[in-house]
Amino acid sequence: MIIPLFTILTGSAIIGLYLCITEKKITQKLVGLNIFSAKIIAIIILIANQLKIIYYLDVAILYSILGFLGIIIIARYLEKDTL
Amino acid sequence: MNYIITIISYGFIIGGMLFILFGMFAVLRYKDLYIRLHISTKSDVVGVISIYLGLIIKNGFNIFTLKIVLIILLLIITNPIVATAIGRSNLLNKDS
Repeated sequence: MIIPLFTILTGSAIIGLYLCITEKKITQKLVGLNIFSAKIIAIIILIANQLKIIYYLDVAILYSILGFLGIIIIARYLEKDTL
Repeated sequence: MNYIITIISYGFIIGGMLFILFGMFAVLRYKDLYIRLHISTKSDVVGVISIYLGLIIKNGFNIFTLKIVLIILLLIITNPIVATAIGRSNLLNKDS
């Protein structure tokens, strides 16, 4: 059960990174970055569940907040030309 | 009883896997930004939260489960804000 789950999550993270690299407009790149961030958090939580290490979940919470802030700041900068 | 809990958690995990698979197929299929934003936010939230619920049911009630609940609340709050910000910046940007 755990191997197809890791395969699908890793494949969709690679799709998000592919969109983030090869698209021309920058808002399309932000969509790819959002997909990549959510899938990487899910992979971190699955690794913490398999290895039974609780403090990996703190890494997942911190990465969630940092991904949110990065996308919000880039989108706000594109909208108003200032922060 | 233990057998039933395992079956329910695997059902949630398989449902989340199918949602993420079809969502990623649709993101590659359509090229417009608003359609892509619509598909990616819905399939991400439903699929990832379903996988987390499967892990919660499988593990029982402890500190691990409480931190996963915190991550679910953070995902529910922040993902619509991100979608709104990306769509609004595409609409109001002068270059695009």
